[in-house]
Order: sequence, then C-alpha cells, then structure tokens
Amino acid sequence: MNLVTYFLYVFALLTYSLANAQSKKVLIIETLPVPIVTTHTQYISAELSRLNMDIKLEIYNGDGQSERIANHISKKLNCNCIDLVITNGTLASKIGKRVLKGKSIPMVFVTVADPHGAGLVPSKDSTDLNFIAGSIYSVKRGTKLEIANQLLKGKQTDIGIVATTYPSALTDIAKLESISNKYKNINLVKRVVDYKDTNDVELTDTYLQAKNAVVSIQPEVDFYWSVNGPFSEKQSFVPETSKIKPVLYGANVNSVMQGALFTVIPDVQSAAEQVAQIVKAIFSGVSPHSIAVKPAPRSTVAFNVKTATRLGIVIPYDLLSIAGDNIFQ
Amino acid sequence: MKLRDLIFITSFPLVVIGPILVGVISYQFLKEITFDKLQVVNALHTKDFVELHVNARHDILVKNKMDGLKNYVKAYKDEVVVEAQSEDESYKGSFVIVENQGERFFYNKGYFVGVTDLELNSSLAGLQRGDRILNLSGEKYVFSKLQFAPWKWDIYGLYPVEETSELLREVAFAAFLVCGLILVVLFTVTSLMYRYFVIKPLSEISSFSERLSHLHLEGRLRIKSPEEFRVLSKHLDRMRISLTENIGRIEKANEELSQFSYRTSHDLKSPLTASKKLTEYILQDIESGDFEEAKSSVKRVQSQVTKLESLVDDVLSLTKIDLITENEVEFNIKALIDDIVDKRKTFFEEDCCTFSVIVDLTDPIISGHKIRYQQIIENLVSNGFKYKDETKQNPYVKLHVVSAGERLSITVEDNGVGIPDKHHSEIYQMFKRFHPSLASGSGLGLAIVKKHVERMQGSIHLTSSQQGSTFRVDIKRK
Repeated sequence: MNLVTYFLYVFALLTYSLANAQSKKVLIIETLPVPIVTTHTQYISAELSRLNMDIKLEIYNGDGQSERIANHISKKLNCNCIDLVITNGTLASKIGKRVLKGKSIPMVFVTVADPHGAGLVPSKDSTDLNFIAGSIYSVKRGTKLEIANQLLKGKQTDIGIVATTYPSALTDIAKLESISNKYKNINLVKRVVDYKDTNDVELTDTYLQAKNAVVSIQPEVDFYWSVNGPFSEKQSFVPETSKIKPVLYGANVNSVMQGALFTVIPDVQSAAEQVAQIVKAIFSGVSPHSIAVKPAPRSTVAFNVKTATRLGIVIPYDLLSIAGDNIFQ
Repeated sequence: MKLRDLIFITSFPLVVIGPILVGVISYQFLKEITFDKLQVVNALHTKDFVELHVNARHDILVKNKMDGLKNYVKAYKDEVVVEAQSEDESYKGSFVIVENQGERFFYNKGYFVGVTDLELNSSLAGLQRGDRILNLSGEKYVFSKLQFAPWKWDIYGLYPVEETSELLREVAFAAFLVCGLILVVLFTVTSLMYRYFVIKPLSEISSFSERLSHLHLEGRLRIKSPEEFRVLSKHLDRMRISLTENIGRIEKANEELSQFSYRTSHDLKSPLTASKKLTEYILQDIESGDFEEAKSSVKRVQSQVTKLESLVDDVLSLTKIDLITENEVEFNIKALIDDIVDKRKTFFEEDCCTFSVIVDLTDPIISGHKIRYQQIIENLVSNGFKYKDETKQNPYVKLHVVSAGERLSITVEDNGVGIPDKHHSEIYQMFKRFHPSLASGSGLGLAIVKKHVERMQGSIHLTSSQQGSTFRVDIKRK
C-alpha cells in the first residue's frame, strides 16, 4: 500500500512539472522600426532560438508612440500573455518600466544608450526597479571623437548636430559636448527640436522641423553628426542630409553604407548574445536586479571609403583594419 | 715556504686565469654560432616587419579593392616608412626601404647616423657581390633582405654586429662569472680537502717528528687517511716504539755498565790493594831477615794476582760476548765436549766429584759460534764442581746433551749445595755469589752463560734445592 502511494505521488509531481513546463511567452517591444532597433530584434530572436529555449516570441512595433506601446503592454498583461518583456529602444524601455512596475513580469532593455539617465538601472535605494535588467547601447564618445579627429588630421572642423528631445539624443549630445571640449579644433553646432510622439502627425512634424534645422545650420558647418535617437536612426537621414553636407558620423552600419563616413557602435551580435543570456538566466530563476547592466562586449566599426575619398580623407590602416568587413565604397 | 702557501700560489692563478680563459674561449666559440643565429633572428624580425606592416596593408587594400587608389597606396606606404623610421624596443636593429631599385631610400637617420643615400647605395651594392656584412659609417651590420613586388620595394633589416659583440661580451662575462664561481667553489672545497688530508696530517707528522727529535716518546701518531700518510704514520710510530725500546735497553745497558764498572773497579781494587800491602810486608820481612814469612807473603801475592787475572779473564769473556762478529760455522759439539772433559782432567787432577757426560746426538755437527757453547758448558760444569756439598756421599756432576727435534738441550745437573729460592731471580746478575765461602770466583759465570744463551735466542731454566741444582739450556739447533 505504501509503495502504491509513493508511485502515485511521483506521478502527480511529474504531471504537475510537465504541465508547468510550457513555452515562455516573450514580448519584444520595438520603439520604432529603425534599422538599429530592427537589427537588434532580429539578432536577439536568432540567439534565443540558437539557445534552444522554449519561447514563444511576439514582436511589436511601437512606431515611436508612447501610448501605443503602453496600451499594448497593458493588454498583454491583462490576458496574462507575457512572461518577460524585451524593450528595444529607450522610449519602449521607459514605457515598459512604467507599465510593468509591480506586475512581477521581468523586463530586459536593449538599444538604450543611457539607461542610468533613463531611470532604468536599479540602485540600492530603488528596489521597485528590481524587475529590470539590460544591455547598454553605448560606445565611449571619446572613441568616436578620437576617430573623427584622426580622420580630420586635427584640422579645424565645425560639426552640426540636429536632434529631437528624445532622451537618448539629449544624453548623447550632452556627453559629446563635454568631451569635445578636449578637442580645440572641433566645434559643435547644435539644434534640438521637441520630440512629439502622441500620434503619427506629430511625429512627422517633429522630423520635418528637424530637417529644417539641418538646412538652417548648413552655412555654419562642415559636416553633420548623427546622435542617438529616432531622427538620426531614420532610414532617410543620411541620404537626405548628405545632399546638404557630408555626414561624418552615422548612427549605424547602414548609415555608413548610405554614405556616412564612419560609425562605431556596439556590436549587435554580441549585444544580442548578451540579452539572450540575460533572458535565459531570468528564466532559470536568477533575479533581474542581480544581473549587472553592462555594454555589449564588442564594438563594430564601419567606414565609407568613397565618402572618405570624396572628402580627401585617407582612412589610416590602424582604423581600416579594425573595420573588418564593414568597409563600404 | 709553507705547503699551504705553495698550494695557494699554484691554485690561485688557476682561479683567476681559468675563468678568463673560459670567457675568452666562450667568446670566440659563441661568436661564430651567434653570428649564424643572429642572421636567423634578424631574418625573422625582417619577415615579421614585412608581414605585419607591408603585407597587411596591401592585403586590406586588395581585399577592399582599394589597391588601385593611389592616394591610399601612397598613404599606406608613408605609414610603413614612418614605422621603419621609428625605434623599436624589441628590435635592436633597424630597417631600410629601397624603392624602385635605389630610386629612393627610407631609413631612420637617427639610427644610421652620418649615413647618406650614396653610401647606402654603395654598401647595398656590395651585398650583390656576396658580402655578408654591411659597412655603414664604420659600423658593421648583418642584414636580411625581402622584396615586396607590388610596391617595388626592397626591405632590408640591419642588425648591428656591435650589439652582438655586446651580447657576446655579456655572455662571455656570464660564462666568466659562472666559471669563476665554480672555480672558487672548487678551490674552496679542494683547499679544505688539502687542509684535512694533506696539511693536517703533515702538521701532525711534523710535530711528532719534533717531539721525536727531542726524545719525547710519549703520544702515539695515528693518521687514518690518506693511505700514504697512514702507512707513514704507522712506520713513524713503530720507529717511536723501537726508539723507546732501544732507549730503554740503552739506559738499562748504561745502568749495567755503571754497575759493572763499579763492581769491576771494586773487585779489581781489592786484590790490588791486598797485593800492595803484602809487598810492603815482604819488604819488611826481607829487611828483617824473615825470609820464610816473606816467601809466604809472596805466595799470597801470587794468589791475589791469580784472582785478579781470573777476574780480568771473566770480564774480558763477558765483554767479548757482544763482540763476536764471526759468522757461524759448523763444528762437532761432541768433539768440543770431549775437549772440555780432557781439559778438566788435565787441570783438575783430583776432582772431588764424579763427572759423567752423555751426548745423545745422531748428528753431532751443529752450526754456531763454538766459543759460546764452550763457555756455556765450561761455566755450568765448573759451578757444579765448585759448589759441591761436602756432606753428601758420591757428589756428582752430570752433563747431558740431547737433540729433540729442532732443539738442542744441554743439561748440567749436580747434587751440590743448591741455590736458595730467594736468590733465583738474581743468579744471572753480574758479580752475584751466594756461597762465597765455598769457592772463589768473579761472580760473572752465570751472567756469561745467560748472555750467550740470549745471543743464541735460547732459554735457560734452573731447578734447584738443597738436593742440588739442574741447569737446562735449550737452543734452536741450526
């Protein structure tokens, strides 16, 4: 009789485990469908698949609209349709933090340049952020400026920055300004327009203002510089801006392919691997707040040789050699 | 000069000259090997330089289809030239780039001080003729050459031979130091071993010899190693023992001589004094006309002189024992005994005692000093007769000579007065007489016998009582 009881118990336990061993539902929220965001989504999906994790993945495009993003997350919460949210981009991450607070659903952010500034990184005082982990999308600004200075061979240069008040853009501009003080030959000319994302119309208007700002500073600058944020990340930014003045720094590899002279960004593959490992750790029982928030371990450098030649610039071997396959003509 | 100093003087140059020689030989030996190795190392450095700086740049241009962009090719060539003109901490040499077979030269002017393009061109031309060493402004270099056709470059890696010399000197110095250290250690160890195995034993032998020279014979010399010193110390110690024994014997002999001189002088003086007194009496008697008394005194003088003569004869006999230098001869002992018996009969017509002689020898011929046997037998037999016991009937003296194996036994037996036990230990001492009232004599007879027996390495035994005495002399028969 005791033996029968024992076997029944084990059977029940197994059934329960199997029942609970369901696929994990993961929602990837994209701030907007810019290449840097969509590329990250693509690589993260591939990495999660490679790790053989039993995951049901949903990808949602926020189109740069905060409410849209918030509503979708809430809907998913109400139907109990998510086990973990990956927020791709600063806006999606900030919305996610607001909506998911206290909901016991872990959140992993990616493609966020300044998570500390965006209030995403938990500190010892902010225990309510303990459900958040992520990867910093950032390369040291000093590195970018140093490469630029090397390419310009220390020549006096005026660089135009046009951006919206998108958080990561502002953070990026602030840090660039502080570092550019070290380079006496580099002068930054800045124009910032308000970022309005209530609806598509407002968003379109925002971008139009930004374009006008680009044109307005044309006489003052030699080159344009892409900062973080949706404006620079737009597919049309480099082609349109290049018609006015050359784009020295592009937001991503695609920008360089389109004609920006160079870019230095966190390596998307290594960032995706990092995020996938964080997701795996969380599903293994590790608490999100115990996972350190760090940049991706590798960076990607890309150059456009045609642009360089047109500008009379020879990319030194030291720089060209680290670009690997990311040399475009 | 002390042995220690001698060893130091001979070893010290070895310690100094040895390492120098090793250093010099190492230098010469290594020079050749190092030159070849240096060329290999220089070739590797040059190859690495071309691979990492020239080939890598060219490859990236080719890979990105930029090798047709003249501005890039020129820029990258300039970069390589800058690299070639820079100091490299890991490479003591420097590179020279020759463009288009001597059209232009690129090199570090700070490294090749005073070198002109013309001199460089001329030196490089020498290499074509088979020179192994490049000479530039008095400095010598080994070289390695690689060509890079896409850029029409000849790239030379030049390494100063002086650096090699410096390296070699360092190596030679290191070899000198190591060798020196080893030699110092060896010298120390050898010195310690010398000290323990040579100098210390020699010091002991030296102080022993000094003590020996001052006849301080106490204290044994004992050296365990090395073997030669052990044997020497053993012989020296034997010498000490022998010296001790001989000195003992000499002292004993001196003592005996002193006693002998004293006793001899004393016994000689006695009859001389008596004779002198008697001659005074004789003169008085002659003056007084008492010729009978004078005759009697003369007879007494004769007796004293006879006594004196006998004493002198015995002394002579005793001293002669040590002076016998003739070789031993073969003689017939039976014939000797017969002579002694005849002599006895001739000079002692009225013998008081029966004298019997038994010679029990299958071969009476023996080898030895005849005089020794004669005196032994005569003295023993004479004593037998002298010390007869008047109270006993049929006094006798028996002489028995027998051979038992290798031993010859001479036994003289009498039934005389015997010798008291308390004197048995003294009987062979000189001038000892235990029954002076019974017979006259010098007291040297048994001393003479004993000495002869000792010289013949024999033994003498006495058994004596009131019934008589028996002397047995055993001598190894030759």
